Formats: sequence, C-alpha cells, structure tokens
Amino acid sequence: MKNKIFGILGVFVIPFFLFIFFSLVTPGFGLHSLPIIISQSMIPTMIGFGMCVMFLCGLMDFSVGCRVIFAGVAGAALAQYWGLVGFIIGCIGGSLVSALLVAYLYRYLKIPSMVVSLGFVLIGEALSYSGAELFGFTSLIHIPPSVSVWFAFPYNILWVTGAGIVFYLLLYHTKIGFHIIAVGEDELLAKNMGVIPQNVKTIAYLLSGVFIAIAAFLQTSYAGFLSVTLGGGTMAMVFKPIMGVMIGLTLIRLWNNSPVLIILGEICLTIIFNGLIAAGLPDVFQSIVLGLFLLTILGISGNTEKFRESIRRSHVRKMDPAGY
Amino acid sequence: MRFHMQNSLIGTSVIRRLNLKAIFPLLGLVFVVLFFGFGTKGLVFSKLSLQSMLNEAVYIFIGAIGYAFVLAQGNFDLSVGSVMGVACMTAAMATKINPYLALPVGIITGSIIGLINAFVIVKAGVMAFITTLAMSFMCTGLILIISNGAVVGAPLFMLKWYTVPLKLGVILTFGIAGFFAFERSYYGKISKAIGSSIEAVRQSGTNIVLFRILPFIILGTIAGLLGFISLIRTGTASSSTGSTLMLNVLNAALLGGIPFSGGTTSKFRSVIIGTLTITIMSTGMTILGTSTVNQQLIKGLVFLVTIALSFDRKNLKVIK
Repeated sequence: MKNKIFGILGVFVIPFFLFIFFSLVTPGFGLHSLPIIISQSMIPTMIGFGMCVMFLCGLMDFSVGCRVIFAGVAGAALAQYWGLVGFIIGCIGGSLVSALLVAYLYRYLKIPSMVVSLGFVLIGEALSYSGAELFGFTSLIHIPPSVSVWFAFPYNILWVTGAGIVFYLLLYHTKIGFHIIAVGEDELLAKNMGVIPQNVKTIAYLLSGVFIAIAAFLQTSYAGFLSVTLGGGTMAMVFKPIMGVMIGLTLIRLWNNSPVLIILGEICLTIIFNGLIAAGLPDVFQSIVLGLFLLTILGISGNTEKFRESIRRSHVRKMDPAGY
Repeated sequence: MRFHMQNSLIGTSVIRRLNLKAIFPLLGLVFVVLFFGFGTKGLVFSKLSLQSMLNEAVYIFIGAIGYAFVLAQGNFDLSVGSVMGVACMTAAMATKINPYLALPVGIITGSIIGLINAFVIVKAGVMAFITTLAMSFMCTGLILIISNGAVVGAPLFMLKWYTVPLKLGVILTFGIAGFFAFERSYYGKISKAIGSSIEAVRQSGTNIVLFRILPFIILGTIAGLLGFISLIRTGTASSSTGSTLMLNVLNAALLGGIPFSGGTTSKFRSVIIGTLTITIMSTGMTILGTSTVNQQLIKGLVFLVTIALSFDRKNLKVIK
C-alpha cells in the first residue's frame, strides 16, 4: 500500500517538478502558460488513447494520423449541412469507418498490423483528399467557429477527461478490456482460454476509432482548420502521441493506470517544449529534444536490470577488489 | 481414369514446387509491364520514359538494396528518407568549402546516423521502429537547423556530374556488390539466419551484435550517398529532400517479395523486381494522366494486395 502511494505520488511529481523547474529557470514561463500547455497536450493525448488500445492488444498502427484527418474531413463535410450535430456524426462515422477498414484489411489479408497501417496511410490520405475536393474544400478544411468553440479550451479538457474515464473503465472494469490485454500479452494462451482474438482485435480497432473521433474534434477545432496532406505526411502526427504512450507505459510499474499516465506523459512533453522555447531555444529544436527524450527514457527503462547489475558488480569490486 | 488422376497429381506437385508465393512478385512485374505497355501504346518504354525511370530507379534500387539487409534480419527503418535529407543538406553546406567534399561529407553523415540507430537498437535494446521514427524526426529538425529553413544550393557545375553513365555505373556497382554481399557472403547468410531465428544463431556461437549493427550502417551510408546524388541531380537541398524515399524503398523491397519478417526466404532478386515494378508503375501512371491522388491510392492498394499474396505465414503462429 505504502509503495503504491509512493508510486502514485512519483508519477505526479515528474510533471510538477518539470513545471516548477522551467518556471524558475525561464522568465516567460509560469502559471499563465498552464492553459496553453494543457490545450496543446489534449490532441496527442486523445490520439495516444487510440494508439494505446492498439498497443495493449499487441497491434501497431501508423495510420492514426490519417484516420484523424479522414474523420475530420467527414465531420467538416457534414458540418456544412447540419452544423455541430453533423460535425460530431461525421467525425464519429468517418473514424469508425476508417477503423473498420483497417481492422478488416488486417483480419482478412492476414499481414502484420504495421504493414496494413502503412498501406492504409496511402489509401486513407488519397480518400481524404478526394473527399475534401468532393465537398468543395481545398487542402485546408475550415469549420465554422460556432462548431469549433465546443472543442476549444476549456471544453477540450472536459472531452479528454471524459474520454480518459471511459478508457479507464473500459480497460480495467470490463470483459472486453481484459480480453484486449490478454490478447496483447499472449494471443495463443488467450485463444486456448476461449477468447476469439480476431473479434477482440476488431473491437480494439473500433474502440481506438472512438478516441480518434474525439481527436478529430479537437484537431479540427484547435486552429479552426485541418490540413489534408499526401505522401505519408500524416505519419508525422503519430510521433508525439507515441512518445506520450511510451512514457506512460514505462511508468506503469509505478501506477497501473494508463489513461492518467498517458495524459501526464503528454503534459510532461508539452512542458519541456514550451519551457525550452521560453528559454530561447528555437522551435525547430523541438523535434530533436523530443527524439532524444524518448530514446533516453526508453533506453534507461529497458536497461534498468543491466544498470542494477553493473552497480551490484561495482559494489562487489569495492568490497573485495583482490578477489574479484 | 488412373492416368488422368496421376496427371492431375503431377500437375499439383509441379505447382507446389513452383511456389506461387515466390513467383507472384515476378507475375506482378509481368502484369505491370503488359498493362502499361499496352495501356500507353508502348510510350512507357520510349527513350524519354526510360530516362525518367532511370532517374527514379537510382534512388529506389540503391535504397532498396540497403533496406533488404535490414528487412532480412526482420528489422525496420523509418528514418532512411530523413537521413538522406540531412546528408544532402550537409553535403550542400560542404560545397561552400570545397565541392569535392560533398560526397565524403554526405556519406559520413549517413554512416554516423546509421551507427547511432544501430547502437540504440542493438545495444540499448530500444525497438527499431521507435528508434528510427525518433531519428527521423530528429533529422527533420536537424535539416531545419542546418539550413535555417532555407533552400541551400550547390555550385551549378556539379549538375554536370549527374550523367547517364554515372547512374548506370552506380546501379551496376551496387547491384553486383549487393548481390554478392546478400547471396554469396557469410554476412548475408548470417543476416538471413538472424531473421529466421536470432536465438539459433546466438546458440551457434556467432557474435550477432556486429551482424545486427551492420545493416543500419549500410543503410545509413547508402542514404548518405543518395543525399549526394540528389544534390548533384537537383542542385539544391531542402527540408523536403528524401521525403518520399522511405515509402518507395520499402514498397520496392516488399513488392519484390522480401518477407516482412525477414529470414532465409529473402532474395536479392526481390530488390530488382520491386524496383522495376514501382518505377514502371509510376511512369506508366504519369503517362496515362493519372492524378497524384489516384496514383497514391493505386500504390497503396497494390502494396497491400502484393504483400498479402506474397507474405510468408508458414512459420508464424501469430500475426501481430
């Protein structure tokens, strides 16, 4: 119990200290930066939820960015006719359709999920572009402010909090959540226990589709427009969410609560970016810092046993230098 | 009746021996050649089209050779395009000191990034797709820092270096060297064995660390060379240099039939078949007036269908 409390505290201490550190070190950074930090963390957090469902089920998906754009295009198209309701229906419908497409491609082509997602990036981007042209948009898709206001700050926090609660309940308190984790841990064992992995994976894709739909709400509303790209450009949207998920899953040994850990992971990243920018580092350094941060975290967390062993050996060497 | 049954059994065994999965990429290439040959009324094989194909093939073929070594071990590299971009940018900057420095600087840049990728993947044990994805974004940032967001030009006389004999020479040299390294050398055999079963290779007493590090360095070095080639072809280096390389190269290697899981069924001929398929398809679609969007859609569909038909599921208990 004591360890659990320390674990939970440890998880919250990391972003807290990062925030305090940058507030003290950089003059342009402080409490006034908090709404920006939270706002900037919300989109990658939602995409991260979608990716995490897939990760936990043992699947890898590079097409989440493309699915966000696909859903956003569908939402913006329907928003022209039915306003807010059309936008929500379009985003959810578009996201679920694209999730089902990827799920069935994976299920029936019987090739690795990562390859399916790479293929779908090409297909989905082309479909999004054609869809945008069909509804009279250019490569930039605008939605009316009366619609976007419902997904901007501070409502975006409510959306993410709600999604986080749903994510937590689904994963830790439902049969399907346990099945997803079981299939991700050991598919053959889960199959022998009576779980039908293919059905579970399809459901995992659909659940990720729900979170991706909310990510599409937030992405489209963040700047009031959505940029439709070709040539695999949407894969860039995967990077920040993947980092948050990786950081979150690395800290899971401290507290087994992946939604909170993903949110905190994304907030940590945003604090570091904004802190560095406030410190005068050009924003082009962001991607370098991001990459280094991710590799450092994963490198350290994956080698803790090695580090412990080398520390133990050095202790032994100190105690008995001659005999070693 | 018995004679008929015997004949049919012999027919089935011949088909089995032919291994349809292995010849499917070749059938795909034949289909693409015939389809675009007839569709464009032979225009796809005109002198002008062949020159255009050669320009594209240089990048795809050489890149796919490097990628084949990575794929053979069951690994993955998402950073090859951005490494090419950084190498092109450093080479362009080096021309300001001396134009002849461009080639070594480009190659060294690529090799160093490849070495870093390899070290993080092999020694630190971070997953290849995460490492190379992170490296890809770091390289994108690095390009912007080096260039300050601007397009960097090379001296105009360097454009004269990009000639047909150079392209053919590079393709032939890398083709021959790649074939021997992949099919005939000890290194190639161990690489494929690592893809089939890394544990079996380890248990056989082979030091696998070096064998696992080398493919990333080879691919990085090749990306560096491609950066230089891009510089002497276009005369400029920008943030978009190399942006399409990764998907093209991966498409070529997989379309040619190199299994995603690597292993002993990886063959060098896949690189040649894949490169030809991709370049003929791209050029043919352009001649037929297919829009960029539809070209991407078709490439995506062909990519998925070909991999689905050629993917080796025999040794896999679970496909994740």
